[in-house]
Amino acid sequence: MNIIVFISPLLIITLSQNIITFDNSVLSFSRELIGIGFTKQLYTKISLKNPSEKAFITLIEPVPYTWFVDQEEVPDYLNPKFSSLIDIELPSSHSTNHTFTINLEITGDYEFTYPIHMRYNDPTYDVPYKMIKLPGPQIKYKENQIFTVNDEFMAEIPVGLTKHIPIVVMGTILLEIIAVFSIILAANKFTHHIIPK
Amino acid sequence: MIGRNSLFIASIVVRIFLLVYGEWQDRTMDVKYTDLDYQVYSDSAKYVLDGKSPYLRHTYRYTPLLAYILIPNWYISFWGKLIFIVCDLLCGYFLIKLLELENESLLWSSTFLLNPIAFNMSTRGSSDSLTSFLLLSTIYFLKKNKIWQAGILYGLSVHFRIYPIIYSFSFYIWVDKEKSSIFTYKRLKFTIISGGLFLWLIFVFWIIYGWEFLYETYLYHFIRKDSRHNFSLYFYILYLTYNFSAKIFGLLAFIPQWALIIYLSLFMTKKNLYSTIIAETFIFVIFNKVCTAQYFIWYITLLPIVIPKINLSFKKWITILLFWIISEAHWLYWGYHLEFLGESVFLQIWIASSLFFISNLWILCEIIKASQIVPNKIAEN
Repeated sequence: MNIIVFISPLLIITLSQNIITFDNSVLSFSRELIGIGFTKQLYTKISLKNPSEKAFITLIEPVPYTWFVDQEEVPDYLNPKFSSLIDIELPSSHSTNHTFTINLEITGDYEFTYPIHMRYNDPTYDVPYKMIKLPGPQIKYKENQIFTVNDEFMAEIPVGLTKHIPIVVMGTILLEIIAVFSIILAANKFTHHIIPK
Repeated sequence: MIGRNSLFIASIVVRIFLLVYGEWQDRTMDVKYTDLDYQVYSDSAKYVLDGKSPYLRHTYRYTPLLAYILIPNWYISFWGKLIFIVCDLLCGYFLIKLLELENESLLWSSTFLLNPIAFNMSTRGSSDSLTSFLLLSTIYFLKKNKIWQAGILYGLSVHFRIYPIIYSFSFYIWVDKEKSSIFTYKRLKFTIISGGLFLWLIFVFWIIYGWEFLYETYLYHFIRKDSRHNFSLYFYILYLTYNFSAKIFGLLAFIPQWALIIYLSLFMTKKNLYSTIIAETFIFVIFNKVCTAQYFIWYITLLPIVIPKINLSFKKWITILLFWIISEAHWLYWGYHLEFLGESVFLQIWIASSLFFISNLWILCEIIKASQIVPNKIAEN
């Protein structure tokens, strides 16, 4: 078991996927998930194959329950539209999947970045990291064509370990009891001071 | 010797400098100087300006009054910061007035006015200085035996941020501390004024904004189950048990917190009001199920009036300060590894939170034990 715990971060690093791409006759799409902590940046580049063409592009962005996008952090110039409120404080177990759209009118190449956050995910018994997926978007091109980016990101997220529950519960209760008695004793010492005349 | 005017000029200069610097950093760097909450207040103010509810802004959990005050933010982006800076300086003013009442050196106020945490928070756009100002002015008017003013300011302070309610027992006792009877005219007067204003404001905003106001401004803070890492001793237990028994562990924090606050109110208030309220603040912060760096300003604000009434040597104060800083830095080290490096260090953070809890507990006990008995001195009207 210990060997699995030791090598699991190594496995995850190997399995992590940070770049997804899509390419067809009208456009190419590439996206990179940047960052190693709970907050990451999604860098996206869309290139129209015909450089003189002007096209309306809508990206239908899936946000699985294991992630969240703060709608206040998505730049206004991307014209984001959220179909429902994304609660940014819930852990994954209490959240649901969401989608939002990015609406652009582009010519040639277009690049943008917005932040995305990993939610606190459910703890495991003794494996300190989990792999979570982030699917690629659907690309709506000129209102009538929809392309699906089938690639998905794989990212590792640190999680708590339920095997810690006994020690954390005992430690917390013990500290609490010590604290309560220490404060009462200190207050008792103070209140028995003699009031100066 | 630095005089009161020099102290205020230095306090204003440093705050104005940071206000200008913050505007510059926000415009030129990726990492913003301004607190995220400031954007939340500003967005809510915009909703109010458009005739909508401030609660349309997700995570706005304050009184609508704050959004009203910050409406000019949409014309002058740093308006709110100016308000918070003025409140910061008013805190300094009332600290000086309180020190004068006790014939203590006014220089103690510099531990707040020139405290980097204090001026950093107001210039970054945190609204805590507003509550601190209301609280300090309440204490001042209580000391001056001006019940009307104290009642109104206290009612407002609890309306703005619910946490000053922890001082209610102490203030109730202090108002007529010569009397042993539980119900006295002055006590009832203070309760009716402060409680009446608090309830009236709740009623008005409930009529305007409905349930959303009640939930977001007050109830959320009671039912909040924040599983994300923070300084609280309870964060890891709440995260691990979020899906099955977090409520029990929430109670585990709540019961000793309030039992101790009531205990100290009853047995300490009459002998030293300042030590009692800082002890209550410590207890509220360290036993809370959520504890963020923002909470530390609550006791930093009170330090200038508390320190002169505590018999601790300079060496002991330095040791206390070092203990506090080291235990906090230790927590931040592990917090950085989890938050920014994505390392699974939850147990280490819990140990760091426990050490931070122990260091705060030790400081609290030292403060209580070394507190002076302050002779009854109520200024004449």
